Amino acid sequence: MNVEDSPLFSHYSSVASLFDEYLDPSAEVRDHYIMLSEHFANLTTEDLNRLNEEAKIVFFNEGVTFAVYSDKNVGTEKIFPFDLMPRIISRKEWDVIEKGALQRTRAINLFLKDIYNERNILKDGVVPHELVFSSKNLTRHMDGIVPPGEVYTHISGIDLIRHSDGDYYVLEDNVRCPSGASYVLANRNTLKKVLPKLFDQCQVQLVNDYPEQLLTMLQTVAPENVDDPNCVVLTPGIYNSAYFEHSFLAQHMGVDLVEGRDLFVENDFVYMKTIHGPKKVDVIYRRIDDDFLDPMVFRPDSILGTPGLINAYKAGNVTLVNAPGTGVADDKAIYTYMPEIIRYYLNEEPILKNVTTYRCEKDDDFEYVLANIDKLVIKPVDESGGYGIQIGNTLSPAEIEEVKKMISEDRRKYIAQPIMSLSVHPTFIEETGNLEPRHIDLRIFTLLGRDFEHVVPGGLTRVALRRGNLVVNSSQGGGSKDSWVLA
Amino acid sequence: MSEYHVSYHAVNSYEHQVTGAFFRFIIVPADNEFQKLIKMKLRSNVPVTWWISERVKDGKELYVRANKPFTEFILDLETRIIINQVNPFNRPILPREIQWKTLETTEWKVENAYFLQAGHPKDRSYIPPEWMDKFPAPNTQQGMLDHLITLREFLFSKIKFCPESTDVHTKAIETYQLKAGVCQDFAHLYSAIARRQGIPTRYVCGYLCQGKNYKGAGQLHAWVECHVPGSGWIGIDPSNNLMADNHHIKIAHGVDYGDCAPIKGVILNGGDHTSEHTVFVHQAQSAQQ
Repeated sequence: MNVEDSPLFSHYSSVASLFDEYLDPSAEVRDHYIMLSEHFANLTTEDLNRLNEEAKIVFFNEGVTFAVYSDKNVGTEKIFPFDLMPRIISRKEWDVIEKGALQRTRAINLFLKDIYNERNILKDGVVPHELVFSSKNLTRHMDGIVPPGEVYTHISGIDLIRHSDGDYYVLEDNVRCPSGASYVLANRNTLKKVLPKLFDQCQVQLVNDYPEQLLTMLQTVAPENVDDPNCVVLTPGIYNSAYFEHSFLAQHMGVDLVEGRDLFVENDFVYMKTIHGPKKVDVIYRRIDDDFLDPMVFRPDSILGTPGLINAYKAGNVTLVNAPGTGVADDKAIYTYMPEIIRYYLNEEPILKNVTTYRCEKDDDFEYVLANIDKLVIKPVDESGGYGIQIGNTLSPAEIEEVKKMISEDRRKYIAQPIMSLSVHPTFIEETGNLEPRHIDLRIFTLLGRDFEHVVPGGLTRVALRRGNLVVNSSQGGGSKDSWVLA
Repeated sequence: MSEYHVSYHAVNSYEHQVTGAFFRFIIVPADNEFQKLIKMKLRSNVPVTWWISERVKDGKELYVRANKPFTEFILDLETRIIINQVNPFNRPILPREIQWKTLETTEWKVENAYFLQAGHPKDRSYIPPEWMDKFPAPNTQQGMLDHLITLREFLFSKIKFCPESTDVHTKAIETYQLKAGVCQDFAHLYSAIARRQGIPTRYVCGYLCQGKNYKGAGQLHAWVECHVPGSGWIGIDPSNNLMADNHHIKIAHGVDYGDCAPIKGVILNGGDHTSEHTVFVHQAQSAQQ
């Protein structure tokens, strides 16, 4: 079928320099999109407008929101923009992505165990020790700690993009508190309500067992000798940008959602205050950053955490998910070494590619970055959520000078990568009433437990809704799509 | 062997009534190859729930939760400790060339990384690299222990021990500029220099037996331990210009004071407060070997 036949696609044309997920280079619909394409071909702009409104109502009614910190307005909670046209990953490609994501997660986990214990990879000089020990997210409090099941990074989010060469690249690893899994479920749920017939025609791998998988994983990493572990979700509270997700996951796992003040520590055990008296807590899926977990150990001004929590953890009486100090592995300067890390621990070739990365700390890289800022993306090594990213070709000469100054003042803090051309996907644009190409990426969620591994089939496709915008983070005005892996 | 009886007495007074309090004290002597904690008794003026939590490496933390509101919180800790005779000069010593060469190896740097970091200008034990020519440089003709003593003597001659000249937030940079400080300032400055010279150094908090006009007696004391290849961690007391010996009762170690603060708390209400503590160390008996 030719796309010109459909009114919705009448304005759709791929851009030669970009990889189009939907059309192949000869402007034919790719095989795995044909079924979907036929379904959409029967829709008019009016239909899509109506469905789009319906989707918004579903999101509104279910409270699927997020908050943006940079907004000056009060009441910053927003509906997460959702695009009606799902993204499809072919089964063949997914098999590779899944294997690659698991490989990466296993390697990162082994790296963390090594860094906090033997440090062999540093002694062998595979990763420079200076780099690891200067990472802001390394914590001495994890030194010598081996959590139950030897798992540090229970939940990981790997951000993948497809470059113009058609290959997938890992843009970054997120192994602290990656968020987004609840949106995968919400997107699927919404699309099923709005376009139910779509699912009659296409066999899509299910994602709605994620809360179950998550709970199973949490139970596998309970402290030794706990038969029926009490698992909770620890949230910083309603003002956190991902509060929806915290409550959603707790509710769907059927576990309690707690704040730091609902917990207390006694004799190195953690208890939850309930109307029936204290109840021991065994596994905490914490959505609070390391710094705020325990005012006795980390930031003393934190009122979000629970005093004594870290010692209870060190004593092995409670499991924290993810472990503190995992951020050292998603430091973007250490990312550079991920291929070596995979080879070192697994003796395998990396399945997923890394993006060429320049570490400003290195003199030759630094010189290169200063001379080529207009062709590069500059990122702080220790931030997440798209904060602090500078895209070279969007900067004015004055801004470039500012960025140069910023890098020179703290070279360890910045890395640079070539501006990757994220692939594009048809996306419904309200203003024009058409499907237009927009940049997308993919966040893959993996779960790691004691003898337990799971990858959410599909993950979260994020889409940059503004034309030409490359930053897809929801905190930076991006939206998302349902992501399909065909069964 | 010496047996010591340590009394720690703390009074924390608050402007308003405290309705909830959770404290962490780092005041309980450590159990290690050199010393043994044999008895411990805790008393407080307010009913409390308390427990001891082991630090992963060397040391104990005492956690206390108050079970009633108060405006004054008094805590008394009585401990008895047996200390083995410590003679740093009796440790095995590697030839000096090997000692200094070991410092250059990746394995050594990785093993000791946390106690080698020069830190950040805002840290207590940081000095700028360009200051290093002000201090005795490592001399490979000298054994490492001798170098550490030279450094100790140098600091002792430059910095005056002055109670109340500084507070717990004072940084090594300030101590050097003031040319004065108390035990933790000596320890921070000493650590900063030794670490920049590649010698792993940890900050130690503990008690010091009274008498002999030691500085830091009657209070909590601070000194350092330096890791000498082949010899292990050697205790050095810069503010007394001494090697740490069986008069030094170790509580815990860390990178700096921040890891060893004797009291930390989360207090509900209370307003302004003052915190005072006194220490009495008494040698119960001495059996020279």
